[in-house]
Amino acid sequence: MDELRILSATGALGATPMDEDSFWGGVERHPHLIGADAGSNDVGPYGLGADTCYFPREWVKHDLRLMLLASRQRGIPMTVGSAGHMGTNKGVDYTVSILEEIAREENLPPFRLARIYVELDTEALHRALDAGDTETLDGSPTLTHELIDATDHAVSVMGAEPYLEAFRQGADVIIAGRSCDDAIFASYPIFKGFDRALSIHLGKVLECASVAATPYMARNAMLGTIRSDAILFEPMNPRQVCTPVSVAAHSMYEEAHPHLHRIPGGIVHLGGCAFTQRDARTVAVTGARFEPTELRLKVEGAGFVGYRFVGILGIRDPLTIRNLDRFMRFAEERVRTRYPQWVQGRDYEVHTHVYGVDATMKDWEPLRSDLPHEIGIVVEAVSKDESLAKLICRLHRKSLMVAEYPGQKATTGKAAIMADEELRGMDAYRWTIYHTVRVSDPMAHARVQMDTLGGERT
Amino acid sequence: MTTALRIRDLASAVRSKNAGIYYITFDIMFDDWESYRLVRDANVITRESVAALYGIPQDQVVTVVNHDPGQGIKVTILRRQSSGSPGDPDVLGCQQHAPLYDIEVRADGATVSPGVRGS
Repeated sequence: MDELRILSATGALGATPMDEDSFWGGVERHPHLIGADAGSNDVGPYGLGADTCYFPREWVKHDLRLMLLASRQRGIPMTVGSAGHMGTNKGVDYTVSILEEIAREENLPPFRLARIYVELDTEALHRALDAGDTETLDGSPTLTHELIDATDHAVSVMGAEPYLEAFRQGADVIIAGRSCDDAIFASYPIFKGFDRALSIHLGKVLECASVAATPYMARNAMLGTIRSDAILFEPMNPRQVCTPVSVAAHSMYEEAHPHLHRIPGGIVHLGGCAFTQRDARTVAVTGARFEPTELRLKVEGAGFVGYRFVGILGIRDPLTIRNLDRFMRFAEERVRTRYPQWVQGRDYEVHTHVYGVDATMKDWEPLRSDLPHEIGIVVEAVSKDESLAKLICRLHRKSLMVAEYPGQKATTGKAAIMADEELRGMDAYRWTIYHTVRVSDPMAHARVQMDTLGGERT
Repeated sequence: MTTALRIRDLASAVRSKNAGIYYITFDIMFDDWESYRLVRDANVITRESVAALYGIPQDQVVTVVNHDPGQGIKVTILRRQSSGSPGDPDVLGCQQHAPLYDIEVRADGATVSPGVRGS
């Protein structure tokens, strides 16, 4: 096989419905595989900790339907990685349940489905910690048994190998749990014998689909082609083009370093890559180099912190705004002294976000002293005791409304409120695990389950 | 007297974003090679200048890298807390870039603030 064409359907399956024209345009180019990334850790620990899929079911189904129809019409495999958003076992099964629905509705003939599960039980993590196999990652704190015990759900992030195993077992459709984004697209060319470094680089560019082309568009399809010595990229929306700069610049996206791409068991070096305009809309890339390293798998875990309540206030009085720090301290002090039996940081936590001053950047804000004429304050209170979370939120909010400072003129109330209420927020979670675990087998955390779907008459 | 140009006038994109859950990464990108080269060679985006701009210790600046093929400069810093935990004001990390706009570069390309570039 001289070349393999991989169609990246959308940069985020189900996040918003994907562009249909560019997708079917890509299908017309006779791809050998259709893939899409369905997940991300980008929106914080809630999805993993609470084990829920954020994306609307209708949109996930919309995108899956297009991919499955094209895959079955053309008789080519399809891969979805980080299924259900955080790639938990429930996320995989949820995605498969939607596929089953589509297969029934469309009367699709039978096909081989692989599910790949990578959720870890905490016992496995305790054992890895005891064996000295865990390591911190990107500044995460040293892993402890306490952190593992505080974890509600943990997933191992798979590289290409579990996908290769599913292809070996004859999978037509792979619904995989938490995955390295690149593996969703790189696994098939690796399976077909193409160079590993080029395959991974291909996958790395394809994972965000149209984002590597210009002008910027999301959720549009991108075609990637791999040959023995180069990879090529062409956007499937005719209003976009790939340029050497657009493709090269994409290797910066959401990465700490643009030249080093880490995968399980290796680093792909991109610093020596050459980017060449092949035709008006296509760019060819060469030069990715694979360096093997110790085999370690990344593990992500998240755990429940508490129930969250939110209060919102507005302040327009320039004297209050000028005395902001004193005013804020008064309220904090009042919360602390009113209930000495409850300790901030132990029984509850409360955070104030002062919009207009430094809510967005906190202590990094260089313009904190440029005070505006109006500020908004969001009080965020969290506690494992739901009624305490609500009480602390209310007390802090009320304290801000009556806080005192020298020279004050307004004595009826220091803050405007839209309504006298605390809003119930989403439950608060935190990342507990962001570490690597040394393993001897890239399949150590993965389980491939084969089934036959389709072939049912409705 | 040579006038100073600011990053906001020279760059086509200045953005911040999560890179994993403990890093925020900044991309300063240029449409034309000359603007990129001017800023790169002026050596104004350094571990020292970024640390000073954000009021953080230099060891919290993880990388400063010039990416010639992408005509971009990448800076990565440590978050003060992991993304999305209680109190985090910017879950996606996408609104931390504004102070970079006002970094100045002399129009003749001369270095205005020497610094050691990390890798």
